[in-house]
Amino acid sequence: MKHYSSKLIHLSIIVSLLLMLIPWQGWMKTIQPYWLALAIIYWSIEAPKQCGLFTAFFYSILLDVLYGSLFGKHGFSMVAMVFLISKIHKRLKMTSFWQLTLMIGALLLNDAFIRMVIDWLSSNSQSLVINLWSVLVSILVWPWFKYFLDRIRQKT
Amino acid sequence: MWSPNDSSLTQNKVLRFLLLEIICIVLMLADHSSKIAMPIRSAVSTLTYPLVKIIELPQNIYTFISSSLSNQQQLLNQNIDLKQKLSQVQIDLLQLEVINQQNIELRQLLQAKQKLPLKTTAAFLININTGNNDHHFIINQGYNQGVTIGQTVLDLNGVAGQVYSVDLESAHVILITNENHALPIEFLRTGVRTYIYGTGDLNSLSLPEIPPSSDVQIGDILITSGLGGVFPRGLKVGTVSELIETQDHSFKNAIAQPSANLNLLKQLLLVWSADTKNSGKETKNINQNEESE
Repeated sequence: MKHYSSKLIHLSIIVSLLLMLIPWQGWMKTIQPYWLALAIIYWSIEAPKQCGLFTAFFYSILLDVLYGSLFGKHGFSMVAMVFLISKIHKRLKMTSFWQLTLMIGALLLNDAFIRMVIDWLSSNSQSLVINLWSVLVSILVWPWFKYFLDRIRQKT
Repeated sequence: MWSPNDSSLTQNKVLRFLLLEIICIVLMLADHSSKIAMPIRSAVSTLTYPLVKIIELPQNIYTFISSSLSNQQQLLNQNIDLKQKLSQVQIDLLQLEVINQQNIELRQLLQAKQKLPLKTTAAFLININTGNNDHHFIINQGYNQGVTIGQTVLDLNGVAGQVYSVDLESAHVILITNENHALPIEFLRTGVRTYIYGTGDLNSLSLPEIPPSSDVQIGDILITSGLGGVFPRGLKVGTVSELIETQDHSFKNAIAQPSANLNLLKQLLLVWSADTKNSGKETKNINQNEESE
C-alpha cells in the first residue's frame, strides 16, 4: 500500500471544507455538492490507513460547528459512510469507473438519508426533507473531482 | 488468507466505528443542553475560526475595493441623503422626548415599574453557507464579546431572532421564522397575549392559538410580551396579514408578516436586557415558563 503525504490529504480536505462554506445564493445553494464527503470518500478509498474513521469524525465535527447544525449530525453520517467504504474497500478499488461512481452515489444517498432522519427526529417539524439535488450534483462532480485529485497526487 | 491477526483488526474497526457513533449520539443528545455542548462548541470553534476568516477575506476585499472605487459624486449624494435622514430622525426624536417625559410622569402616577431602556450593540452578519437551512445565520459576536444563548437579535425594523449557539468569536442566530421557533407576543391594540410560531417561510409567521373571544383585525401590530424572560417586552415582531377561518371554535388562527426584513439582513442589533444573565433559556423552555407565570 502506497503512503501518501498526509499534508496533501489534510489540505485537500480543508479546501473541500472551505468549498462548503461559500455562500451561494438561491438555487446555487441547493445544488451545492457535498464537497467534504467527496474528499473523505476519495481518501478513504485511496489511503484508508491515513484517512480513516477518526479523520472523518474530526472534519465532520468541524462542519457541524461551522454550520451550527445539531452537534454530531454530519459526524454520525460521515463515520457510517467511511465504515461502509472500509468494508467494501477492496471491491471499490477493483471496480470500473462507472460502477464506482454509482456506488458513491448510493453511499451519498445513504448519507443524506441518515441526516434527514436525524433532522426529523431532532426537530418538531413533521416534514421529511431530503436534498436530492445536492446528492445528484455531487455524483456529477465526482469524476472531475477524482481526476483532479489523481493529477495532483501524481505530481507530488 | 484468513489469519487471527486479520480478524482482530476488523473487530477493532467495528469497535472504533461503534465508539465514534456513540460519541456522535451522545453529542447530539448533549446539544439540547447548552451547559454541556457550549464548552465543546467553543473549543472546536477556535479551530474553525480561521476557516471562517478565509471565506470572509475575498468578500472583505471586494467591499474594500468597491468602496474605494466608488466616485466622489456618489459619496456626496449619499452624504446628502444621510444628512436628510438624520435631520428627520432628530425631529422625530424631539417629539419622542416629550412623549417619553409624559410617559414617565404617567407611570409615576400609576406607580408602575419604570421601564429600562434597552441596551443594544451592533453586530454584523458573517456571510458563509450554513447548510440548507435558510432560517439561521451567523453574526460576528461571540462568547468573547459576552453573547449568551437566548439573547434577542433585532434588525432595524423588528425582532429577527435569538442566539441559539455561541462560538468563541461568532454566534448562530435562529430566525423567528424557523419552524421550531415559538415566541410569546401580545397584540398592541388589545393587549391579548398568545404565541407566534415560525412557518419555515421567511415572509410569514403563524398565530394558531389566539383566544376565541379576542378581537383580531388585519393590520394589528404584534409586539413581544416579555413572558418567559427570553425576549424583552415591547419589541415589534410583525403585523397580522391574514385571518384564517377554523372549523372548531377553540382558537382563532391568523398569519402575520414579520416586520424585520429577514430576506435582506445586514446590520443587526444584539439586545442586552438588564438581566441578561437570567435569560439564558432555550426556545423550548418558553412553553414551560408561561405555564408557571
